[in-house]
This record gives sequence, C-alpha cells and structure tokens, in this order.
Amino acid sequence: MIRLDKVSKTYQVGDETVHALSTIDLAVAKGEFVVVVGPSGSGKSTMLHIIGGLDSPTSGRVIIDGRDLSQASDRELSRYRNGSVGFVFQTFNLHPTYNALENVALPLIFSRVSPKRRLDLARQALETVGLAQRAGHRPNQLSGGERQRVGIARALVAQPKIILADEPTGNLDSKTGGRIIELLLRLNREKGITLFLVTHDLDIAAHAPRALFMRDGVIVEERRG
Amino acid sequence: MRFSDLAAMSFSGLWRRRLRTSLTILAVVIGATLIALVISLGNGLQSFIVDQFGLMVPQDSLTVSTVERAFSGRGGPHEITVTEVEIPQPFTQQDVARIRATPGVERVDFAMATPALYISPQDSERKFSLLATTGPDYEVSLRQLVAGGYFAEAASGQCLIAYDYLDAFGWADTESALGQQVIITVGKLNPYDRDTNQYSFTVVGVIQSTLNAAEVLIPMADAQEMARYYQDNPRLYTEEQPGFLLKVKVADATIIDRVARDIEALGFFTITPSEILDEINSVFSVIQIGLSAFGVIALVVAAIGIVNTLLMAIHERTREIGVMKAVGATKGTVRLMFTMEGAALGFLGGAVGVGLGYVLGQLLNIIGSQTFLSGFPNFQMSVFPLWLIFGIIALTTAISLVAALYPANRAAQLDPVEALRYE
Repeated sequence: MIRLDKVSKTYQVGDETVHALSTIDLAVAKGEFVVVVGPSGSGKSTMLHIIGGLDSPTSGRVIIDGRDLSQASDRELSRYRNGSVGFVFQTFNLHPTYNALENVALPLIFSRVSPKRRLDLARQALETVGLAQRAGHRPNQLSGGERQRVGIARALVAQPKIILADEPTGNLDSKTGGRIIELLLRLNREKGITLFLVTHDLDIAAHAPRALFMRDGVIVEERRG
Repeated sequence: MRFSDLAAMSFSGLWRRRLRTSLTILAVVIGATLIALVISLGNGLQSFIVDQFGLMVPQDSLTVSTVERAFSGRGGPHEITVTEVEIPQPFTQQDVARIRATPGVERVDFAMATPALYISPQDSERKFSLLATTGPDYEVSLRQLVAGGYFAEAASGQCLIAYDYLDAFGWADTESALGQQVIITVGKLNPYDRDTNQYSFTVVGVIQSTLNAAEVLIPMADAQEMARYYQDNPRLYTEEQPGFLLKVKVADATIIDRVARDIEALGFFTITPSEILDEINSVFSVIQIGLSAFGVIALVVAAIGIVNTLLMAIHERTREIGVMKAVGATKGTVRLMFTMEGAALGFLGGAVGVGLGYVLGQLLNIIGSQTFLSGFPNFQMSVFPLWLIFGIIALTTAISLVAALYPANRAAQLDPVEALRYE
C-alpha cells in the first residue's frame, strides 16, 4: 500500500549537499504499525513528510495505493493530505484562537464540508480521543496531553488511511505520553489505520511489531517483533 | 474552500491584531475620505453652476460672434494678416439678415452691454452696485420669481431685482418691494466726461438670487437707451449697428446644433449652451481629478501599509500556514486567504472613508445652508450619488487587493515543512 522506491532527498546548505535520505526502499502494508527510531538528523522526519505528501523526494518514487506522489500536482497532493493522511506533531500545532472543536474541524474546511456536518464530525473525533467534554476550550486552557488528543482528533477527522505521528510524546511527561501511544495504537488496531510513529523511545521500538532504525538518511536496521 | 469560511478566516485573522488592523485601515480611510469629499464637493459646486447656468441661458438659443475668441490675445507683437479675423469686427445689417434667413432661426436679438454706475432706491442718497442685464422674453422668463411678475418684452421703466436688494435697500418683505421706484445711474464711456443720466424703474418682480446676486433685469428698450447714452452713439443697437454679439433663438432646442453649423458656414462663430456646459463640466472634471490625486497618493501609501501588515501577519502565522497546508490547504487557498485579508482592509477602509466623507459633507451642507449659502436653499455643497459611494469602495478594495497579491503569493509559496519547523 505504501511503497518507497529508491527515495533520496538532498538539501543544499550553503556549499554543502546534505543527504537527508539516501535511496530508501520500503514497503508498508495497510493497517501496519511501524515505529521509526533514530537520532536527530537521521532523516526519519523527512521520510514521514515525504510519505505524507508534505515534502517531495529529490529522486525515487513514492507509491501510495498505486499512485505516484512524486508526479502529483499541488492540488492532488493537498487533497491527499486532506483526506488520506493525518499528521500528529510533537508541538501539537493547534490554532491558538480556535477552540478544540474548531481545531479538529479545520481539515474539513478545505474539503468544503458544510459547517454543521463539520462540527458533527469533529465532535465524533473528539469523542474517539475521549475529549468531548473539552470541546469548547482553547488550546491554552488544555493540558499538554489534552492538546495532543486534540491534535490526534484533527488527524482523525477526515477518516484517513494513514496517521503520521512525529514524536507525538516528545513534549509530554512519560505517563501522559504512554496514554497518547495507547490511543494511537488503539486507532491502529480498531480502525485499521496504518500508523507511523517516529520516536526516541527505544522501549516502544522494542515492543512494536515493526521497527526501523535510521541513521544518516539510511535504514540501518529493521526489526520485526 | 467555501466563500463564507474564507471570509470568516480572513476576518478572524484581522481581528486577532485589532490595533494593527485599525491603523492600516485608518490610512485607507484617510485616502477614501479625501477622495469622497473632493468629488462630492465638486459635484455640489458643479450642479450649482449648471443649475445657475440653466437659470440664465435658455437651451434653445445660441450666441453668435464675428470672431472665434474675442479676447484671445497672443504673446508678443505679431503682424496682423487677416484683419477681419484678428481684429473684432461688429456685425453688419447684411450679416443679421443672413443669420435671420437661416432655416430654423426664430428670432435674432442684439446682445446688449448695459453699463450702469449704481442703483439707488428712490429718495435716497445711498448708492449700490449692480449688474444690469437685459434680454428677450424667453430669456427673462428663466429667472425664478420670488414675488410679483415679469415685465412685458416691449415694456419700459420696469425692472426685476434680485432678492438680496431687499436687505440692502431696507425693504421689509417681498410684497413691500413691489411697486417701489429705483434709480439707475449711467455714466459715459469716456472717463473724462462726467455727465450722468438717471433712469427710473418700477419694481414689478423680485427674483431669486443667482450667481449674480446683484442682478437687475431691465427691458431691452431701456437697455438700448442706456447703452446709446453711455457710448454717445444714438444709432447703436439698430439694424445698421447690431454690435459684436447676437442672441439667436432657434425654433426647437433639438435643431440647435444644425443651426449653429449653418451659421458657422456663413463665416461666423457660435457658442451653444451645451458647448458651454461641456466646458464647465470638463473644467470640473480636471479639478476633481487633480484634487483626487492627493487622495490617490494617500491610498498608494495606504497600500504600502497593507503590504507591510500582511507580510507581518504571514511572518507571525508561518506555522499556522504550515498546519493548513499539512491538513489540505492548496497554494491557491492560502493565496486566496491572504488576498482576501488585504481586500477586506481596503473594503473596510473604503466603506468607513465614504461614510466619514458623507458625514463631513452633510455637516458642510448644514453649516453652509445656515450661513453663507442661506440665499440658495436648493444648493447642496456636497452631493453623494450612489456611484460615488460604490466607486470609492470598489477603488480602495481593488487597490488593496493588488497590494495583497505579493504577500499572498509569498504565503502560498511557503515550504510547509519549513513553515511547520518555524519558531
């Protein structure tokens, strides 16, 4: 379902060429849970961005359900990000003046869903992450864990096939972080959403069904549990 | 993206930085108010002049002269080659006959200059300035009567006086003015000749003040006599000596241009009322455009402010733009959002500016009607037609929309990955 075919990404920083990804080959089936581990600068975020259609590879192909993302237009990529992928960020990236419900509904604005239906779907997504009672709160009135739940609800609201979580527990204490991981795993299990989880936490990697270890833009080790 | 969502997002973006937004809008308001006021005052003055013109010049009459522009003096000394063109020549009896014979011409009158020194109420030593005028019936009857009636064309010793004389002469009201005697004193063309002659008139009507607030209208026979005395020329304004200007009335206003062409074909020069109006209107257009330029300069400065405001907004909201792209906003959508924000600044500024201009204009109307314009109850200093209101809002919206294009495009081109990483 997700296939990376000799994907490379290089940046130009001054006179130096940085290889963020070097000829990555990867195939991930529908509903898989993949943990990506590696030091910072190892290319794990770049890989996530490329799978999510937020970044494009310098060379190679990204095939999602048989379609090549590297050939897609801005409009097609936007539609893909809108309906097929949900991003969960380390820093939550919530809109400060919107309440939880409005934040969750944001992606649906860009797919022209009517305001009423939008809020209904957002409420359902908030229920799924167990935050329905906080729908009217702004991000600064929510705890870190709650904010990340809003972030996950936003990633969920358009019923995507893939969730890309980039160090979602990086700004949370370990107990709250554990609950967030549990929530993501539940979504993966119950809804069959393919889940990519980038983390520093080797403990999570040790218990994951599939873990990729990255360094310097290369997958150096792959472990299946 | 739905238009309602687009509008809501743009306004919420502006609302978050209320102070900055209002300052940016203020600059637009200043430009819009300036333009609105200048054009509305121009409109007021223009319609005033045009109305006044309509009270003085009949639509079915034209003025004929022997030279194109009687007073168009050229710079330095130059040789006169075509005498009859370069030195004003008076009309001859034959000229008048030829004009009178032109098809469509109903009547021809001499346009008489009526020189008078001053006017006094009977049995008074006080002297008042005046501008004595005369004309045929169809011209006199254009004046708006406040009281009394017009004199007959062939009458003599009767006059119509402007309303303002009541105050000057100390007459209590319009009714008491009727039947009063006034004396107009006429001197001589030759300033060394100190002789004067007095002509007595009965006031038969009071007319509304026009641009010429000191107008005294007298019958043509009296004007003729006064002119002859003034110039010491007993044959002036007869068929043999018609003078320099003729008033030609045509059978119908619709054929006036055709008649004017026919008369010009005889070798004379004509001015029709619509030509004069065109000239007035074009002068006003030039003045309005010229003064509006200040407003436009203010708007250009405001547009720079809009560019600045939007660039700052984009800088502040870089991460938000990244998130929007991550959740499915296209480049076009992002571009549209910021273009909309810019256009909203212009729209709001234009709307407030027009409103402010309107209020200031009405204020001037009220102040004016109670002070220096009290004699002209129908005159509005500031006139706001609908096109002006919508035109200015459209102008400010368009200018700010154009100003928004560059920042909006920058926002659209932001790399979402870098935008999300932006601190």
